[in-house]
Amino acid sequence: MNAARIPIINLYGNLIVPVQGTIGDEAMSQLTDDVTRCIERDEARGLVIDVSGVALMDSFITRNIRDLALTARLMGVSTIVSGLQPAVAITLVEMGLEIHGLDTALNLERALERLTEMRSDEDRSPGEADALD
Amino acid sequence: MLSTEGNSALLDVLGQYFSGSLARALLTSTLRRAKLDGGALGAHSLAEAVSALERALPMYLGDTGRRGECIAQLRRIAPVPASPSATTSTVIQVRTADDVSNVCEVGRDIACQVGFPHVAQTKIATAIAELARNILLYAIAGEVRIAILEASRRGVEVTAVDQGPGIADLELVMTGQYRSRTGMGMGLRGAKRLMDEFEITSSPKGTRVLARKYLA
Repeated sequence: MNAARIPIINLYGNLIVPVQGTIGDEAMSQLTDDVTRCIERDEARGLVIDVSGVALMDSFITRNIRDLALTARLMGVSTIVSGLQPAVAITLVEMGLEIHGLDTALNLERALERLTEMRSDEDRSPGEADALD
Repeated sequence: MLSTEGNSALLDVLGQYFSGSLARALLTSTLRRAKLDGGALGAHSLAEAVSALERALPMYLGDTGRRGECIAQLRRIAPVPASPSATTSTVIQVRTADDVSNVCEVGRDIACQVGFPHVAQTKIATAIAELARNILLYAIAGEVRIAILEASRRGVEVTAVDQGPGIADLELVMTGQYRSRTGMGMGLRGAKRLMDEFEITSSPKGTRVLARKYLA
């Protein structure tokens, strides 16, 4: 698991990161490096972190994913976390983890739709994108 | 590898519920995970193989009725020794990040074996993840013991023990007034909320957390 790199897929200007299984410390810091590098290189406009393949999210993984999302947003890239499994969502709420500031979507498809909407809003009224969000 | 008598008896039963190749794959992977592969199954290891299959089945056979039938048939091949009235427990050393994911997986398996539904399994595995992660972050090494409770109330008991430096101001951490750079309080408080009972003792010689979750 430690050597396995999480793939990053570039699709029509959006980066998609399908996270699977458990994520170790090394894989996570590697992922942050890889994603930020891809954002810069590909001039990505959106990022989706898909966690539908993650059956367990503890505070460590959650915090890392949130930090990755916030880092990407700081770089100006709209970021959505998609596909939280029901049991994972219930567990996170019960634990009382702070995940505000995180945009989420039911699944990858909805996330991509949302990114497209966000982009057309931006295109329509440049400069007002932040106010609309 | 699947030519011996015990193995083929198991395969015969599985074959009634799965296609031939899936039955074979299920048996092979379960034996490998239970470290029972690589030889003929003796009477003892046959019983272990049956319990391992029982734990694995919920992932493959969603229908509880059919699963029950399958388990009953498997048990007829090798009666699983009745669990002692005390508790059966598994101890796992925590030294690396891989150990953390391993202990979570074992915890989920045990919760499933006890009969917890999927969401509760996830909660238990997540609480274990928090405790194991804390051991790794603050004490470097320790162990997590997962036991099945069967006396008055059926459930799971998790004990996390380490010989680390201890938590200086436990009360602040547990009430959420203190937040460490790595977010320790968050994890411990989260684990507490996920379980039914939660006790923590800490001294400069180490920390011990005992948490229980009951089936009903």
